[in-house]
Order: sequence, then C-alpha cells, then structure tokens
Amino acid sequence: MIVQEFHGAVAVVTGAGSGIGHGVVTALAARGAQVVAADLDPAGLPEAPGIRTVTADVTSPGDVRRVFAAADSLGGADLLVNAAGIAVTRPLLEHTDDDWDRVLAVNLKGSFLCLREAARTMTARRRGSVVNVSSIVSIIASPTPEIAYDASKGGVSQLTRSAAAELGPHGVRVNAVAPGPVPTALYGPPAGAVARNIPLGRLGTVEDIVAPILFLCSTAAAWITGHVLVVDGGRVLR
Amino acid sequence: MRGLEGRVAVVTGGGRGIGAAVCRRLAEEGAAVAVLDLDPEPAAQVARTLPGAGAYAADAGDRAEVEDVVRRVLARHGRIDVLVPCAGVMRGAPVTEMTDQNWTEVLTSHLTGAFTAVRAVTPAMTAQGYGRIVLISSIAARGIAGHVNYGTAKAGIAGMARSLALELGPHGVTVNAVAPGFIATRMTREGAERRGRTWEEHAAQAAAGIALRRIGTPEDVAAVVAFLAGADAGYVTGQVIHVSGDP
Ligand SMILES: NC(=O)c1ccc[n+]([C@@H]2O[C@H](COP(=O)([O-])OP(=O)(O)OC[C@H]3O[C@@H](n4cnc5c(N)ncnc54)[C@H](O)[C@@H]3O)[C@@H](O)[C@H]2O)c1
Ligand SMILES: NC(=O)c1ccc[n+]([C@@H]2O[C@H](COP(=O)([O-])OP(=O)(O)OC[C@H]3O[C@@H](n4cnc5c(N)ncnc54)[C@H](O)[C@@H]3O)[C@@H](O)[C@H]2O)c1
Repeated sequence: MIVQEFHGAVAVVTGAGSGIGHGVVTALAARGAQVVAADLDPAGLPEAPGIRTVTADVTSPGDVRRVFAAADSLGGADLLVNAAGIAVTRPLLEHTDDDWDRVLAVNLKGSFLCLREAARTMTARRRGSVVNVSSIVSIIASPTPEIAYDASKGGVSQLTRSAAAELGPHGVRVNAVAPGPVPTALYGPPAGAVARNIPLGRLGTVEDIVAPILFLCSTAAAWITGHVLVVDGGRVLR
Repeated sequence: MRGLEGRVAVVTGGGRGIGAAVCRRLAEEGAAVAVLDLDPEPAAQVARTLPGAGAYAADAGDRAEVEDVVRRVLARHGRIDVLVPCAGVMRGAPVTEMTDQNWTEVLTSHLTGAFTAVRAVTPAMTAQGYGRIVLISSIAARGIAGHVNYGTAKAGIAGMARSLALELGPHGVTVNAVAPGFIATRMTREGAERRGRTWEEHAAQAAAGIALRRIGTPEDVAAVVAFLAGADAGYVTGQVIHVSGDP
C-alpha cells in the first residue's frame, strides 16, 4: 500500500509529459495529491483521476498564469516541481544566439516564471515547497558540449538558493535536485562508457530521481531549504 | 510494508538528542536498532521503548569497544544494514587556549569514532552487497569561531563521506552525511550556558538568523537520516545534505 502522504495537497508539475516530470506527476497522484500537469506537448501528459492536464509553454507568462489558475481552482498550489527542460548539444562555436536564448528561456526563465507565480499563493498562505530540477552539470563540466544548458542549470541552482533565502521567512521552502545522466527523451546515453564513471555502477532511472523530489516536497524535509540535492550515483565525486 | 522492515541499524550516541531521535525514527520504519552510547542509562531508556532494539554501552572512540558491539549485533541479528554515527562532544576554546585534550576529545569522539564504526561494519555490508552509512557533519564544517576542533572534525566527516562513497559504491553501500544547523539538544543547551544566556534567548537569537525562522528539532534531522537510510535515496551517494532551515 502506498502511503497517501500528499493527500489534500495541490501540486503543479511542469514538463509533465515525459521523463522525470511525468514520473513526478504519477507518483504524487498515487500518494493522494491533486496535480496540475503542464507541458508544451500534450501528447504524453498522464490521464488519471486527480490529474488535471494543461498545455502550456513555461516561457510564456500568460501560459504560466493559466497553469496556476488551474491550481487556484483546486485551492491553490502547495507544491511546484519545475521539470520542463530542453538541451542543445553542439560545440560552443556552433551555438547560435537562438540556441542560447531558447535553452535559457525554458530552463531558467521558465523556472523563474513558475516560481514567481507559485510564490504569490505560497507566501500569502505561509506554506509551500518548490523543487527545481537542476543537473550535475551545474557542478561539474559536462563531458559533452552543451554550454547554454550547463549555464542554465548553474542559474537554476543559484535561483534555488537565493529564492530559499528570500522566501524562507514566509514559510516557503525552495530546493532542487541535480540528477546525473538518466535515459529519457532529453538524454540518450552513449552506450557503455557512462556507467563506468559512476561509483554505483549504473545510470540513473526516472524513479531514482522522482523519490528524492518527493522527499524534498514532503514534511520529512521540513527543515531543508536552499539545498541542491545531487542524485547521481556518485558521478560528481569522480 | 514499512521502509526499513527487516533492516538492522547501529546508531552511536543514540542515548540523547539527534541520535535518540534517529533511533526512534528508524525503529518506526521497522528497523531493529542497536543503541550505542557512552552513557548506559539513556541508551537503555531509548532501547526499552523500541521493539527489537538493544542498548550497548561503549566509547565510540575506542576501537575494541566498538568492534565488540558490532560483533554482538551481528551475533544477534546476523546483519547490519544501516550505520549512523552520532556520538561526539563539543569542547570550545579560543585557539591559543585550546588544550591538547580539548582537541583530542573532539577529534576522537566525532572523527575517529565515525571512522572506527565504519571500519567495523563495512565487512558485513560489503558481504551483503548492501549498506547505508549516514554520517553527521554540521554547518560548522563551513567554519565556526572558537571551535577549531569541532569545525575541523565536521569538515573531515564531509570528506569521509565522499571518499567512502567512491570506495564502497561498487559494493552496493551508499555513504552520505547530514549537516544539521542549530538543533535543540543538550549540546546547544550547553552552548547557551557557556554564553551565560537563557535557553529562550539563545534559541530566539539563532532562529532570527535562519531563513525558516525557527531552530531545528532532533526529529527534523532524523527524518532526513531515515530518507538517506531508505530505498528512496538508493541513487544518492557522497552527498552532504544541509538540514538547517537555511540555504
Ligand atoms: N535526463 C537526464 O539525464 C537529466 C539529467 C539532469 C537534469 N535533467 C533535467 O530534468 C528535467 C526533465 O528532463 P527529462 O530528462 O525528463 O526530459 P524529457 O525531454 O523527457 O522531458 C522534458 C519535458 O519538458 C517539456 N518541455 C520542453 N519545453 C517546454 C516548455 N517550453 N514548456 C513546457 N514544457 C516544456 C517537454 O515537452 C518534455 O515533455 C529537465 O529540466 C532536464 O534538464 C535531466
Ligand atoms: N545540536 C546541534 O545543533 C548539532 C548541530 C550539528 C551537528 N550536531 C551533531 O549531531 C550529533 C549529535 O549531537 P547532539 O546535539 O544530539 O548531542 P547530545 O550531546 O545531545 O548527544 C550526544 C550523545 O552522544 C553520546 N556520546 C558522546 N561522546 C560519546 C562517545 N565517545 N562514545 C559514545 N557516545 C558518546 C553522549 O553520551 C550523548 O548521549 C553530534 O555529532 C553533533 O556534533 C549537532
């Protein structure tokens, strides 16, 4: 039996149509939360009782307001998980202005827009927990060239700390997970090579990342804020 | 099924404060807990209330005593899945007044104590191909005036977590640490006494400097230790999680 530890909570999850975001939505719903599941691409959005789907672009302030209006109609967001993200992998000299702008817009500005919208309700009610999805490439240099992506994740980690300091006195916690490589639509690992660099000897799974995200959402993490929790099987130690 | 059903945990410094809360929380999740403490009475009190628990009087800084406890736990339960070394003391003084004894007591109880316990349980964990070690660092690892011994020991704990995570990861053992901030325990009450403040003044001043505007409880820390000791943190290793109400 799964404990209904999020019973009565309203959660907003972005990037909910695929990978980590999708996993977070189903896990939160299974534990009793009402979830507003938002994605630019509605195709993969999970359909189940307790889940309200919204097609939305996190780079659009209007779309973000619509997402949180859906949460308001359920009583207001208690939890926000910012999992929408894109990556561009190509050498720095080949990164176009548009590559840079798109990646920063989705990963960093999108996280900020959702955080700001969530913070309105959360600070007013003096409760709430936000979990951003950063990456280990905010800590170590990526082995593949993805300069805009890495910079965006560095931004997400610092957004997390600064927001935690500012929102803490209002009862709102802000944390992040920093996953290592997890096979999803966003990341197709080159065979073999990667797992050898990981002390636990394997790549991550969506479930490996989802469980720590739920932990940071939960009351078990009531006194954790501004923390970027690395979930990587020990990869950054190498 | 509770998350730690069938698991066996060893907690040093389990008689009071954070260690005692860790014992209670791990037991709530189903673990059989060995409560090790220098003081037999509080350890026995904690163990009495927890199903499957046992109290063990030992000095965490003494290799022979710790290894003897580990042997007895293995004889009783056949395995050790979780180790949480919480034992340790504070002996603050300005650096020029810090005695060798101050230095040694702190380094021995915290750092040698954690190392000694890890060394003692590692053969069982690697043989099982499973283990969860959760060390107790502190935000003092970032620096703490008047406690160079303690700040050094707690920074050492963070380094210990990372080195052990690399070494034991291939054997299915994760090693992490929590770094608590200001927690209401005997340790921080003694801090108030040393400064000649009431506990209320001391705690209120600490809370004002914390983003979440309150001091922590041993249970706040124990909940995070339980996460790291359980299945949900299976892919987390080599990390130091700050449990301090503050970035
Ligand atoms: N997979 C990994 O190895 C890995 C590692 C570290 C961090 N991450 C991060 O985890 C998060 C989730 O990634 P994933 O691996 O699950 O990828 P994914 O591609 O499977 O899922 C990302 C989802 O975000 C959605 N999305 C993209 N742009 C959007 C926008 N503008 N508005 C709304 N939704 C949008 C996509 O449609 C997709 O459904 C991302 O932030 C990613 O950077 C992933
Ligand atoms: N209280 C805080 O604010 C705080 C903050 C950060 C870290 N910590 C750490 O948490 C751990 C627990 O601290 P606490 O605040 O609960 O302290 P506490 O004094 O309340 O409890 C410590 C327990 O450890 C036992 N102990 C001490 N030395 C021992 C030894 N050599 N062998 C066996 N047992 C021994 C004591 O008898 C006591 O029961 C310590 O490692 C401490 O450094 C505490």
